[in-house]
Amino acid sequence: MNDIHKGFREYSIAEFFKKNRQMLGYSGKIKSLTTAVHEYVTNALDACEEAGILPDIFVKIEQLGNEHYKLIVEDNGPGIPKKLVGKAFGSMLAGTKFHRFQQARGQQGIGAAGVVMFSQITTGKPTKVVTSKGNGVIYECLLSIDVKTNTPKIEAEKEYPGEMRGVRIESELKGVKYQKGDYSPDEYIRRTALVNPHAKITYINPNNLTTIYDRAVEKLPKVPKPTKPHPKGLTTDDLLGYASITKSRTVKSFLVNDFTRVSSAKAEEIAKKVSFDMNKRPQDLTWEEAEEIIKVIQEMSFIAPPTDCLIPIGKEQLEKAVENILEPEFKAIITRPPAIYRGGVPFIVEVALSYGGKSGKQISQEESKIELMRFANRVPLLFDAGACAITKAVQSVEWKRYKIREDTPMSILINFTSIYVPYTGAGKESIADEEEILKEIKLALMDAGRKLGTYLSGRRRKEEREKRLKEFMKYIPETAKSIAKLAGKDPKEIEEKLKQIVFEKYEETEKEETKEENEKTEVDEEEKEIEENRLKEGEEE
Amino acid sequence: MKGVESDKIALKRLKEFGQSLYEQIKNNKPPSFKMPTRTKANIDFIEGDRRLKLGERMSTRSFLNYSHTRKFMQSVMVAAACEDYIKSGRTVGKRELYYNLKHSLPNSKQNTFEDDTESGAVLNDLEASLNVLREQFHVIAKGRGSIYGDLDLRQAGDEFSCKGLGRGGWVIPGYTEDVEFLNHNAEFILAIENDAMMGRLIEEKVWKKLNCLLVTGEGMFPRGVRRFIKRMHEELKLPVIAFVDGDPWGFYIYSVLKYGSIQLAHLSDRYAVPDAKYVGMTMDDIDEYGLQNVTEKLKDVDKKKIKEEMEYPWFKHSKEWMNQLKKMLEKGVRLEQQALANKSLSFVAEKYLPEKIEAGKFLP
Repeated sequence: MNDIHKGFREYSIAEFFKKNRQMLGYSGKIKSLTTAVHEYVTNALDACEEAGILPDIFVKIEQLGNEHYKLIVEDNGPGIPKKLVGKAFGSMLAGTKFHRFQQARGQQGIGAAGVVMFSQITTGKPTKVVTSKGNGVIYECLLSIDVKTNTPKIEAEKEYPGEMRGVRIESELKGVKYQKGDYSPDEYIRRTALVNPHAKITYINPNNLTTIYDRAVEKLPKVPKPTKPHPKGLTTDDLLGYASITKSRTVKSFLVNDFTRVSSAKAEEIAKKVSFDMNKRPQDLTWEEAEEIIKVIQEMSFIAPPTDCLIPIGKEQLEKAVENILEPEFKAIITRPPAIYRGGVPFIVEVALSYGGKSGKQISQEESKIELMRFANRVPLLFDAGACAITKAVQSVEWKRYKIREDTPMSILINFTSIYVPYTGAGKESIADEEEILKEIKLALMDAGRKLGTYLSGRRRKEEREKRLKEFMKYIPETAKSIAKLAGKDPKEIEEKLKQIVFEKYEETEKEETKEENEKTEVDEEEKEIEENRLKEGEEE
Repeated sequence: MKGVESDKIALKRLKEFGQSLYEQIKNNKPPSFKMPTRTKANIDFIEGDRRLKLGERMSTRSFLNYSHTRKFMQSVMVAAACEDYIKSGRTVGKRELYYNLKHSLPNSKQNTFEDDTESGAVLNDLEASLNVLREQFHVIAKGRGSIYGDLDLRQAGDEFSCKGLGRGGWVIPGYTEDVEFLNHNAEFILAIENDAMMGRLIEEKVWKKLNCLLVTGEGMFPRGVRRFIKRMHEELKLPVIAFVDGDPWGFYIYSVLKYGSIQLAHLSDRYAVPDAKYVGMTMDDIDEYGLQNVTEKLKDVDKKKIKEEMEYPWFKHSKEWMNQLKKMLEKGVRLEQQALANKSLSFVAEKYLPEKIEAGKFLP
């Protein structure tokens, strides 16, 4: 992140943008369009949520020519005061989230200003912003960025009466391409709707097809609280990094002030165990000393990190969202308890397995395959699936064990929630495969997988039973007729009686099987082991 | 057994069968019936007795057992049909029975019977379960196999001789209970596996040279042929000598002739000829008659069958037979009857059979 600031100083903003396109999410014609949609939609959702308004978002992509589109995003948020329009949309790296230790959507890309910049570079045209606070006055302007000074440039300002609340933003984009499929804005919007069940999203794609994702829950998610890093799992490198920028005057106070769950008693305890004096300046910490602190921390217990800094989607919300959009026959939703990975960063893994209905990825009329949807802080990750911890965790699960095959019509939704997402690569589209992260995702998947597996085997048994019942019915008439003939009795009487006997037996087996199912609380050995290790490792009171 | 009496017994058993099933259904019980278990595990082979005997074990066929349901329906269908045949005084062939009962099942692509092995199998089950012969059910097997030799017979009012029939013989029908023996001039019965060999022996007038009756089953001896051999053996006091291929299949044909089969173990008394002897082909013939060039290599199925047979008690307890099976595995070859033609066409008639039979070179 320091590189970005440096680059910013050395080059003009336009050059910087061009040089860092890859990193900013504008690599490739298809991805660039999706990134632009992402930036505006994220902005819109954040604006609504921060104001406590249930989002109602409108997204439209119009094709204007070859590789030339117009993107329109409108929200029902509080609107932006006239004075702040420029700052909000026309200033790159303003209000940067890089130094905030808080769960947020906008860790990817560089925000709405990036789209304004991209639009300007590719079309030479400004972006149109229309906003109102809902007071009967609408403000409109054309916005661009002065590339020399990195300041917003506002033209053609207008104010007129009208009914509106929120922001409507329109940018033209060139050198981008709309193409259906996994990387399309269509898919991005669909997945965004899935993990934001409190939002209503109306989307019109370049083929003029309108899709409305209705709101599934009427409750806004809680706003995450900012927090500090947790000592457990900090690396020497992390510690030195934090020490170099702290305002605390001694190492001891640095530990207490800059980290969560480090009381002065705990700091004292650390001070007693290390071989050097912790009253020195944090900036003077040597590598060896930092290493020593880390070692001591590893042997001590700390209270687990506060979890109110993390706001997962929530079981109920996910359930409703999955029902709303995938209309599954069966679903299993798992929310793991909070865990931490290297650097003391708390995170929560959520998994939804959705089976049947619209679940799975349709390959042809008859065939479908498992669909994997990755999210980080509710933001869909569409690209770089191969390098992602989520993908690796999914691949490490033995799905066969749960009667799940490659062609099972199933969607896997995984949301990684954290104050800091350890992205790999420049695109910020995949999560680093930290051991703890892999473990948590795998556990959640196994838990959900087992639930689905139980359902599937029950369903299979039911199908089998029904097939058998049908078979019995098929053979009853001839059997009854022949026995009646031999015994000199009425075939109808025998037929009815036989049916009754078969039905009774059928019900009996069904009862037995249900009982068996309930008694069978088989826990995967592997899962048990991982769980036990987790308990052992995390003995933080 | 006179026809009328036999019919009465069969009808009575069928009625009891139907009533028992009806009572079970009436009492809310899944209908089922028992039959002797006809598997190798339930076969006793008593050395002194020298035939296959069914053990005590019984199997139950229940309508509510998913794997039995279809067969259960087929069993009662065949039973009801047989009742019809008996009452109307008609007799049907095995294949007729199949066509008579075959029709489609409701809401299904399946038929009541898909082929005559299905109807044949449940007919065997009913025979065993009700202790009634299929002939008593008025179902007879298609005739297969023939007899040639100096023997006069009467059947259905016709009198005829089994010699002077050109190259063929008299085709032995599936039902032979009504055949009367008139005159005969023979010292033994030669039971031949292969009908081409039968033709060779007729042409070479072996029946005259060796003074015997030639019988073939064209492969495995069918029930009609076995019953007819058994009757000739008992009523005409003629010893039986088997002449089959020197391979596990020939050995098995011989063992069925001698001891009975697993499927029909409950009827061994009617079919088995425990005194039967085996003249050839044997593994020793290969060296004895210089037939090394006309052996055939064993296939995997042959080897599998040999290993199976080594576990059959009637082979297992016989030193001579185990010796034969072991030799066959060691040499890895089989020896067909017709391999003898390698010496000359008349070799079998002029040298092989006369020599071996006169010297009494038999396997037990």
